[in-house]
Amino acid sequence: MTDFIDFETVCSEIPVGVLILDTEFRIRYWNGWLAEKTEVPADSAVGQRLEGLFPDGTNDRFFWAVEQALEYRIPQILSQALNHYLIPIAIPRSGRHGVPRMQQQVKVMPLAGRDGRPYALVIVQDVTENVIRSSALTEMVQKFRDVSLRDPLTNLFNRRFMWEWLLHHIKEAERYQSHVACLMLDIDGFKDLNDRLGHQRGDEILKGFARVVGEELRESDILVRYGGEEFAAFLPKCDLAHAVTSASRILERVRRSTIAGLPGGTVTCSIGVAVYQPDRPTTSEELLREADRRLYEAKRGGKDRVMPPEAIPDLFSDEHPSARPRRTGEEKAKGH
Amino acid sequence: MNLTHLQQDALAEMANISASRAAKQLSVLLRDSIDITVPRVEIARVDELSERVAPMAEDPGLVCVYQEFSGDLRGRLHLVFHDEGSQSLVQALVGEAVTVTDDDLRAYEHEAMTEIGNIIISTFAAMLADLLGTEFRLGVPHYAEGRTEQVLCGLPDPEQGEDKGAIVIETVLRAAEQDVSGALMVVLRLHSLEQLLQRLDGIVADYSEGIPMP
Repeated sequence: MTDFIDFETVCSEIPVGVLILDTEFRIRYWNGWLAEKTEVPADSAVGQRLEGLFPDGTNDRFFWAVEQALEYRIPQILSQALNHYLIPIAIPRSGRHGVPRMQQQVKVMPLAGRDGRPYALVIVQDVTENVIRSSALTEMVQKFRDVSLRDPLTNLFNRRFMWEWLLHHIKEAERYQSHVACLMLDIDGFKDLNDRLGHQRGDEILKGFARVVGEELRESDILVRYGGEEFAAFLPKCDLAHAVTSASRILERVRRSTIAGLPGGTVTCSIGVAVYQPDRPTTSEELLREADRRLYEAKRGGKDRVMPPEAIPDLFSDEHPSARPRRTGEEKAKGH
Repeated sequence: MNLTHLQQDALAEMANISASRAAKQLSVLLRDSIDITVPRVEIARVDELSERVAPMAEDPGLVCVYQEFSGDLRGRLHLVFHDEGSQSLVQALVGEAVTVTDDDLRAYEHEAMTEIGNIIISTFAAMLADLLGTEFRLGVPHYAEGRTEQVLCGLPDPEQGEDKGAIVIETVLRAAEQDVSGALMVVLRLHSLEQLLQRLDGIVADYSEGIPMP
């Protein structure tokens, strides 16, 4: 049936790696593809063990797979996903997408020899291009994803990201009985500033404000451009007292900062505070609504102030520093 | 058909040893300590399999790796994983790489699960072969996903019409470092369940007469 062709010729020409191991794990056959890719000619490979040829490239998993094939005649696969490669072969354009070596899928099949002994047929398939294509696609998707989740002007996260973040963190707070604070911030009198100084300067104010607020947050907190001159900061594992302290610190820092070249005190903000409390669980929407309500009250109460939830009114009595903004003489003169 | 107490013990012991061997291999592969709980063993008719696997399949998705075997005993070995469990297992074990698009994730998961299934099925088959002193000829591993009926009963059956039974071995696999675990089942579908049980009885009888198990 196979008289018309010599199967060794087929194995030698086939564009995959083919090797055969005996019960001593010694190479009995090494095809042309392997010779070409590894630069180890067949006459140097035959009689050797794989770990002799590639001391760093072989592993226990492979030996176990060969053992299974030889002893129990059970075929084995070594996936690229979990093993990356069996035989270390550098790829021509090294390091493409962080893939320095040829990625391989390996099959180990049991074979019965003419001598009655078991052999393991090892087939090595090059899947590097698939992996590189996949990595490139992943990078591209990641870039698009990053872009789609950020506000192009301030580079802060946008509302789309915020909902994803809240979904995850509110669930976590529910499970671990922890708090999540929400600070809703609005730049006071932004419309006037924008009209007076121009849109370009208005954009600079937004960017400067985002930078100043961001510097006051922890690494685990996030700052979102909620819309227009409104921003939202979310502070995981932060209870009400700490949330109010953080809000007061932000308020003070904004008040003192030079933003878009404008002297300290020109740009101020109002902050509404709400906190997800594990003993009184609420939804993300309710949390935001509550923070927004407090922000509105801060605005109505004279701006440039922090408005906490009603739960701790004593913190915001007239004696509390954050309730009474310290105004500069210049501000007073301007009548802000 | 029910397993006798002795048959159940023998199968559980065998499953336990093969599970430990599989755990060792997985630990090497995944560079994490893998624990496998003591397996629960029961017997079922093939048409009852959906029902038996159902508690695992409230979420309709299952993934299954299977290998046909022939020789003295013929049938099919399945490794069944809850779909969601397999995704989180693969993600935790191989990291976040190459998993952004759904298709990519599926292909990656498919490949990794086929290998994990292959390892577990192999250790089980090798153990069974050792214990029964017989030879198994296993085919290459295949991957299937879908509802319970599809992955366990709906696969093409090479030998229609024969009486078929199944041994269901259920265990939990847990990667220690990575806080991830998944229930898995080895479903051994046999065309000659009686034959296997008779052999098992013989071995148990030998064992109780002081002849060591293979």
